[in-house]
Amino acid sequence: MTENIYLVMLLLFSAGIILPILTSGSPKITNILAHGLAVLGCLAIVACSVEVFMTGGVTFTYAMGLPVGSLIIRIDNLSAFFLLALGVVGTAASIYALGYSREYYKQRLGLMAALYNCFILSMALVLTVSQVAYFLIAWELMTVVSFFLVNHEYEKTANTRAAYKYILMTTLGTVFITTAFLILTMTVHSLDFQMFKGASLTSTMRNIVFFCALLGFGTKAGVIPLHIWLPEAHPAAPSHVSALMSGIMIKTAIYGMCRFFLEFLGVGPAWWGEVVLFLAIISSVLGVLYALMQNDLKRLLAYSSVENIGIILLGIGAGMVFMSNNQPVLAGLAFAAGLFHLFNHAVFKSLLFLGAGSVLYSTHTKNIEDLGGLIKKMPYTAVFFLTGAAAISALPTLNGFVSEWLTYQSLFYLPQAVTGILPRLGSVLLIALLGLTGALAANCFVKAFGVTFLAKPRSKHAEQAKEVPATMLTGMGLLSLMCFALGVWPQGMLKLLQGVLSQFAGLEVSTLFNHQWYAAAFNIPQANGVIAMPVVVGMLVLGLIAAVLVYNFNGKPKNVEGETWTCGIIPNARMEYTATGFAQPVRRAYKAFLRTKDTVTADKSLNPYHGVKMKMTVGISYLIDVWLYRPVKKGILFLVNRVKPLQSGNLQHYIGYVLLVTVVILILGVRW
Amino acid sequence: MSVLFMIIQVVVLAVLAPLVAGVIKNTKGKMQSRRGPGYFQVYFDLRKYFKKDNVISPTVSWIFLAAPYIYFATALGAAALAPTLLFDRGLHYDSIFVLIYMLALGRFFLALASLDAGSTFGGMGGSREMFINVLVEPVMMLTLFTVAMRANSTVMSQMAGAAAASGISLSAILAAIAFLILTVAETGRIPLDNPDTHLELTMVHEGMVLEYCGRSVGLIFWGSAIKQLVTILLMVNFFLPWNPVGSLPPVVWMILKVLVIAVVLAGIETSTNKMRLFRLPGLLIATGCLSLLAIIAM
Amino acid sequence: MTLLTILLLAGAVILTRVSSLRTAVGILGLQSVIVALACLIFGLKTGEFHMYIAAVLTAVIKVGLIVYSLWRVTLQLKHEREIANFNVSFLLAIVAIIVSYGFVNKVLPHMAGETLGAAIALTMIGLLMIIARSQAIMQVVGLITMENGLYLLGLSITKGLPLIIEMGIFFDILVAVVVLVILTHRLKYSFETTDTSILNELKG
Repeated sequence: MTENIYLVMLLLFSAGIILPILTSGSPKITNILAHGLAVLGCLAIVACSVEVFMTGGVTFTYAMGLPVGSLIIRIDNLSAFFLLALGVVGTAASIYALGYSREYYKQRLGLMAALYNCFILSMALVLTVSQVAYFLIAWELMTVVSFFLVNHEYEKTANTRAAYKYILMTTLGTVFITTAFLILTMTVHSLDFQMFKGASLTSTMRNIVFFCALLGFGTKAGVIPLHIWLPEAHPAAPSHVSALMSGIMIKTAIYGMCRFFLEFLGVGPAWWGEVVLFLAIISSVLGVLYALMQNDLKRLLAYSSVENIGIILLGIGAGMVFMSNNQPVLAGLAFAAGLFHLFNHAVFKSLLFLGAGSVLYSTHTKNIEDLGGLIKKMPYTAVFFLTGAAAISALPTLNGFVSEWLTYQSLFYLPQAVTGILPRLGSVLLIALLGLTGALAANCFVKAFGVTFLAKPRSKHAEQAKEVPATMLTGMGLLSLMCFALGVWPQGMLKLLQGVLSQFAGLEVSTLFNHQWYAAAFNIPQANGVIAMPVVVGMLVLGLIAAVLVYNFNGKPKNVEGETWTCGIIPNARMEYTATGFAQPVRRAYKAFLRTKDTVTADKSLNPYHGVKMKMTVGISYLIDVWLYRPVKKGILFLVNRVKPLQSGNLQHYIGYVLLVTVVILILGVRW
Repeated sequence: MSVLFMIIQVVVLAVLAPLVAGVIKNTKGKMQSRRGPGYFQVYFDLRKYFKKDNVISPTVSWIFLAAPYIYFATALGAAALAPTLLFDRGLHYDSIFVLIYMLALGRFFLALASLDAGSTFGGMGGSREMFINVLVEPVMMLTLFTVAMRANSTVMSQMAGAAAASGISLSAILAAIAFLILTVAETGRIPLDNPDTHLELTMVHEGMVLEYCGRSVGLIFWGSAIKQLVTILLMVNFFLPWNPVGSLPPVVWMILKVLVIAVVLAGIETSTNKMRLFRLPGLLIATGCLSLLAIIAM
Repeated sequence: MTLLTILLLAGAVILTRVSSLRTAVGILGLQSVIVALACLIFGLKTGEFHMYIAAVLTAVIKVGLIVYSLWRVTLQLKHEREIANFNVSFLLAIVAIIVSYGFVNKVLPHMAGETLGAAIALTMIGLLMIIARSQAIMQVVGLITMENGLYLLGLSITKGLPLIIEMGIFFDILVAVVVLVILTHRLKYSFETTDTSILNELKG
């Protein structure tokens, strides 16, 4: 049954790849066909994953007649979990694309639609293929297809630059991934993932595999300091693709890490987990700090993805520490926290990207300084974006809160698992820094939502905005509903996670949660916390009822319209607080990490005394760029300049080099 | 049963919160050699607010109108969660994280509302409030962590129990000092904020709600009073859990301690100056160091 | 056979000292004739029928078509001369001969006939011509020389390649020369010279 659904899924996406190219005559037909097929395909993915959860994992093998062996598709609960995220987000994004693609009717829509289908297909393959060679092929396919999607609007130079940075970095990552796989393959003499389980490696080799997997997948996931491609590539892609890239593609890297750290390598030393935690906390704090500084809506969201990958890795890193410390229940809690946050982030980050896409669709600008007042022009989009913003700020009764709560809970037990005063202090600081991350995220999304949607429009673009078509709203609405559903009743997801994690040695999740209809209690010795979201919802609803009652206690108030107080002048949009201004206190307080350079220039040409035009530019330099990438770049340039004279451009010289090399080889060959 | 108790606790705290605010105002007045407003002045203010009609800017959206309700609801939710030692909740849903994020929800919407009216004051207030929150939140986590570690639980009723069971120690005192500073920050008082001013250079919370009037402002002020009482309750039950030997029941001790903290807050506010906004990171880093020391000393 | 080999090498060495294009093409034709003869001799020796066909093909294509087309081109390029340091090329050619004979002696002592060493030497001299000459025609001549060397190599090692491969090679070289002749025409047309060193100016 699962196999049939899987094959149908493959068929649907293949049709989705081929048909748009055949129907290049009419963009309308292309749009409906391609994205309709993508919706169906994504539903097939969801069906596939549900089927696996209901009836257990499946394996099927196809002899492909290629020298690299036969294709093994294996869908276990871990794959199914990621497939579920892909299916849900993919469905919403594809429905959204039906409307959003109108922007691209004159911009190579057929190509984009075909690539889009291919992109989803490649991610589905990455998550299900269980054979090294085909996994790497699928992985590279995903990279290449997304590279083309990032570069789709190549008319803008920035996009092309972003795309090349992206392909460069991820190719570097693939080198590490391939190395990790090769070491495993050479040890067990098999390309099948299943054979890797418990491969007998020496501890040095294990460490090498660990680092290769961490660096390789970390590049794709966008872990700082390997993140530099992410904030440029994600904004460059069309919005529904950005949603998938941020929502799912970077999560496939986490899938790879889970495979390696949970399955292939087994329980490792505690410092593995500590390394992951270190990278994770740097990613989350710096990621959100940089996000707060952005004024490009999509770039802001991209940086926030870096932050959330950090939070996911906090759960996974803590889980690894617990595993090596032989605390399977706590390890289960930590991994559940990480994976839960992964699913949540997939949902709300895609929602936010789709929301940003809607803003882009109707205003044609991503710069939030030019926006404002959209809540009146686009009321539904505003509600959906607000849902996403609240969810990503971990506000209660939305899904982000539940997973952050779980992450806090698992970090809370971390100081007991590590030894030595410094690691203990470090693990205590993790909680404080996660709190800092949460506060910065709230700050960031107050800014993003407030400046984009509230107050008065700051430009003509924003004034002329219109609500987006129904298909786009449906896509966003679907994800908003998911945010609420997962937040109000997380027990379902927790149960699913129990199924996902129970297959791994070193984790004990079967007794972790004590499920009731209104709560899931942790069965952790000495401490019995409870996740009772329905109770929290009840409190808030009762509170709201009380507020309404109190408000109307003396009868309904009379509402009079009166202009906003601006010291007696009629307010206009230029008096509003700007996004740059809103972030200014944090920018100043965190100077050390941002190295800001604010310059104010006054144009006195009109009048030397008054009526002077002021212009302020804010420069931020990114620490990782300054400390890591620039020296590397300089070094490479230096070397290249040394080698450059060899590259004369004269064909005869090149033939000469060939002759020289031949002679040298001949001489070496006879060992004169 | 526990639901009934919870509702009673919310009602009691909501009713008493303005009184605590009144006590602080009165004490402050006395310390400044004035008579000060009466203990019940805040009630009168609220009654007046709730009789008034609203003036609403044409710029605002539904966010502006909804924010006071949400703020008030989160304050009530916080009141429902606050540790009072009066009853055992049986079901341990009262995690410290729920409380912190409940307050964050209210703050989030108030900050959005501050941007909604399109005035510079509002935006500035919202920006600063979120900034101070960025500074306070990690330190808050650290300080509460000291108690949570002692209880080995993040459930507040258990934390309060564990705090009460432990004796006076260096760690506890350091944590108490740290949390006192955080209480000042959370309740928006000098030296971090000034609750009595409407001067644009100094206001933070007041700037944020500048556009509100009538019943909305009533909801917000009442909500703030409840939030203040909840913070003081956290201080009392987590960081000053010791009762001098005596035959008085613990509830009476708790009420007394709340009043003492109220007086201390008034004292701090009278005796210090408002700090510049960019001096605050230093203060809060120092506070964070105190809590780290408290954890090391444990 | 030995005589033919010596003649071949001598031709190649002289080729490194030639500055007139037409002389070079002439020597090339002579060389090709020798190769065809060598082919014929091999055929007589081994009695393989396809060697005769190969000899005929060599005569027709290398001696006939290629030399004819190059000759046609050189007739139009009356003012073109090769300007290069002939002494250095000459010395290098001598060194190439010594190195190749030494190499064959060292690696394949049982094959140490003159033909193998001469073939390698011829290939290297051809390559040297391509590198060291700036006139397009001279480079083509170098290419054919190299080809002749390779042909000789195949001849001396395998006693004749299969016919189908030889025909492929002939066709290949014919096409290459045709293309190069056309390119030379274009070069003359665009730059009024066939000196390839001016192409360096195209570098960005």
